[in-house]
Amino acid sequence: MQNNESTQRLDAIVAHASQVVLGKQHEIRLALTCLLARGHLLIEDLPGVGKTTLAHVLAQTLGLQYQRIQFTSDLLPADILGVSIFDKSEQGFHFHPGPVFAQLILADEVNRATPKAQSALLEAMEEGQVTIEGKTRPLPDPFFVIATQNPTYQIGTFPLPESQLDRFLMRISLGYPDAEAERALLTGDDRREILKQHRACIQPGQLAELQQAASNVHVADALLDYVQALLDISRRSPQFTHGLSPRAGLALLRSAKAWALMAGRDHAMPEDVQTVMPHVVSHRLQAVAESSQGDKTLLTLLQDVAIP
Amino acid sequence: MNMSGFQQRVKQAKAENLWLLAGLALAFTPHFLRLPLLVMLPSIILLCWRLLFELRYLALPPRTVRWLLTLVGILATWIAFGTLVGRQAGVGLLVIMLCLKLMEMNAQRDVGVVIGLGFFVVITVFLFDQSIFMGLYMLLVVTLLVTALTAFSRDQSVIPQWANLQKAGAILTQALPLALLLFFLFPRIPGPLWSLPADGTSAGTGLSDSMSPGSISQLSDNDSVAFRVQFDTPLPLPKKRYWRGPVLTQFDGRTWSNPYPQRHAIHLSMNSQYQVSGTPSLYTVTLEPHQQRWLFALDLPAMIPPDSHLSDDYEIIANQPVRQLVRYSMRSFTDYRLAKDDIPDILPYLQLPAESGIQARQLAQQLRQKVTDNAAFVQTVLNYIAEQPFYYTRQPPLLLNDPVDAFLFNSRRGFCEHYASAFVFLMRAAGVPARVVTGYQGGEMNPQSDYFIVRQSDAHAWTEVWLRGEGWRRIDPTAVIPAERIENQQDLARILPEMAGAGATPNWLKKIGRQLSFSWDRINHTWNQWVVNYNTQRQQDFLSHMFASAGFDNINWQEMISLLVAGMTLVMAVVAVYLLRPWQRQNQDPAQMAYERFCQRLSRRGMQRQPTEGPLDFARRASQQYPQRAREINNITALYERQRYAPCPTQGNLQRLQRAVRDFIV
Repeated sequence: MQNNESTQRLDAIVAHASQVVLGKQHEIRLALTCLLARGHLLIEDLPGVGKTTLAHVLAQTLGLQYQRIQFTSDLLPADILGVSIFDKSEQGFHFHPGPVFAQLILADEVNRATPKAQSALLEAMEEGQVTIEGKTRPLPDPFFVIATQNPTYQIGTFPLPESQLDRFLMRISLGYPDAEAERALLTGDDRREILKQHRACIQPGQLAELQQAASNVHVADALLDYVQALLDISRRSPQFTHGLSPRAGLALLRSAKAWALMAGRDHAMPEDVQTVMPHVVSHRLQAVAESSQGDKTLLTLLQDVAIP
Repeated sequence: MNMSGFQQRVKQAKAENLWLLAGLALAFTPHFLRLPLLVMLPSIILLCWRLLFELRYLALPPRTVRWLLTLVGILATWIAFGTLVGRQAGVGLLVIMLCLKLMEMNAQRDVGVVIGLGFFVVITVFLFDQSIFMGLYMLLVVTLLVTALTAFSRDQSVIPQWANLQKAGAILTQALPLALLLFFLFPRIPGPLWSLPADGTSAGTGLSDSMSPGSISQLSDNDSVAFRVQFDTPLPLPKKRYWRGPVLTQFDGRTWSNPYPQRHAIHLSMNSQYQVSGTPSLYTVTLEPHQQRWLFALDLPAMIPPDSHLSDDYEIIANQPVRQLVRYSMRSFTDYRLAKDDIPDILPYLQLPAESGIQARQLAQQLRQKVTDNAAFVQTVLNYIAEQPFYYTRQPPLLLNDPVDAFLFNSRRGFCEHYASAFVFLMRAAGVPARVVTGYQGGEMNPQSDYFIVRQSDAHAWTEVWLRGEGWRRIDPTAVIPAERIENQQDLARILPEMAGAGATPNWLKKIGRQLSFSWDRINHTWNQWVVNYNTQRQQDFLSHMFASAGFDNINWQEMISLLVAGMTLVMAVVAVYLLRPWQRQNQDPAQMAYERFCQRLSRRGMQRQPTEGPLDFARRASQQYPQRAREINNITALYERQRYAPCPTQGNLQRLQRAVRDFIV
């Protein structure tokens, strides 16, 4: 079976990445799901919990070209996109592509840069191409952005507006490792060293196959009913300022399909939707009650909808 | 900064408790205005204490202090009322104990108990006041309590507070059809459900069983409604509108009273005792509670309402004091003549106090000697009042000793009770049997509706004189005072109805005020008719009217219960149909139906699938619960999954699923 093959390959990827990022298998699976669903990933967590390592290891494992952009408050769009410089020998302008021309980009601490710099990246994410000095240049394929951001309560941040948050398929957080993983981390080798020796475990082009397999996952009418019911209740619930957009519904479905593929199925199940739902919608919904925890609110959303 | 700290505290307080405290405070307020300070003050302090606790300013008292407070509460109630039972004391105890319960409201269960008791407090408020305002006000309180209930049953951190209020509103609106059904169809029990003990403090306004100078004039400024009348026949002439109340026969020089308040009932046989002429007035009186036993009717009643009797003096006396609104139909003949020639006992109507009114007696003798018969004497005395400078005033001078002489010969300024009193005195002094009658005179039509309002300010006193060959004749001595000697325009309109309108026309502001007051009275009247006084009789009338076409002309309580049950079933059925939506089930997936059967079988064993639980999660949980059936459970789940979620479901697969479910017996 083709699907079995895909699943085995995905399991291998997850196992491979788990050797570097310890005790975070679920998060690795979610990140991979996001990639399979051709979406971009936002990781929100405190500094030092392994956001960068996760991005790096994914790039390594999947054999993707990797670039890291550290966002700072004085970052300019040209620093991301690239710039044309006059070449004396050729008597003309020569374009020097910026770090955005890579397959997997880690946009580190994206909420520290000004909105201007943020939007340069976010537009690239949306369009899959960038326009510099009037010339449109395509970005490589696959093009996958992992952005990390500090929780907004940390000072010196420019929070991403809702419309830009919407460009990320999923938002996850890593959290602290459990005791066992932490011990292994403390006693083991330097992560940097391990990363250097890390080899890709799939061939170039196989990732595209996997992405194709994910989009081929079957969605039954019953599941569509469920997704629609979830969207509907989010629009009617008094807990949120506004409901989920149709784009959010598409994102939910794409993610559920990719997750189903990871679980070795050729069809999506309500459980798949339930698993990915908090990560897909939490950054797209604004709770009305200020003090509430987003995840807790979402949980009530899931609890309000019976599986049809 | 201080303010934001306070807001923070409010935000962090438990919302259901804040709603509850607000609801309780509002529910208590009508009681607080009525209860003695000794009970009210501790309750308010306890309520505030709880509020400060909710805002984390104060701790709750420890157990020993709570015990002590309980004792103090009981003691305070005892001191304030001298008892712990009865309407007032009971409510006092309920309020103070409920406030004490707030001191130990920790568990969720306690909150439920307090909310329940809050609803009970709402009921107790209606023991005192059943006005439309109170009804609306209590609706607000109930809304707050239901909001507390919804906040109590929902996860607070994620629900904004207005959503709770909205939910409570929705719940109450949904409950409305059932409430209306219960209200109109639940069989009413004749008479009050329980008899409320008279607490002494609940004296009603209105006429009393005695009359002394000033007792009626104190009512003259009281605009509250005494009773309302709906006439089925044309209105009687203004000069016939005498609403007869207590008859007073005994005089002690200052006060008229009734020496035999419990006199035996006379048997009302219309034709033997008086002759009537003309057509009777048919009308329905809605009497406001006045805590006494008189029922008012036009002279002369030709029938008596149920649960009442007629006294020797033609007073209609209810068997129970009128403590709540009563409604009775009456028939009266305004043209009448007593046919009976002699009265059984003439002495009570000639009684006079021994040492008062010396001058008055002399005057009576003088005047009597001038004429030949008693009827002429009556006219002479009336002429005397009309000719001498007697004034009708609302502020009569205070007459200390011997009020009759002082009034007749010195002040000559008085209100109706002075004239009635003096007139009867003069009659009796000359040997003419006479008595004082109190009641109401006049009243006004509500121009916006079809009923007649009689107010406390219409209270009046007049007299009756017994004349041989004629019987008792009504004489109103105040009616002979000429218009120019009546000080107050309002009184003029009342005493001399034919003179009404002669005075200055009221300005437009007053006109609007009167219109509004009539509108308001009409609303009140409707409320009384349909809500407060919706009793056995009215229920009968209403339901018979409603179901007349269905062949019910007299509905008994069994039929009412049947109707009630049928109505409730109908409402519930509508709700059930809406919730279940069977028309949407028709195109239900057979695989889903088979799977639901499977879940049902497991749930009978206590393995309930949550509606939000996916089939895979449920299979995992169920296999853990029943490891020996795990193979079957997983098989069914796999077949269901393939049929419902996988691409290309097949008929064969469906049959396998259905067979597997059929064979799955727990």
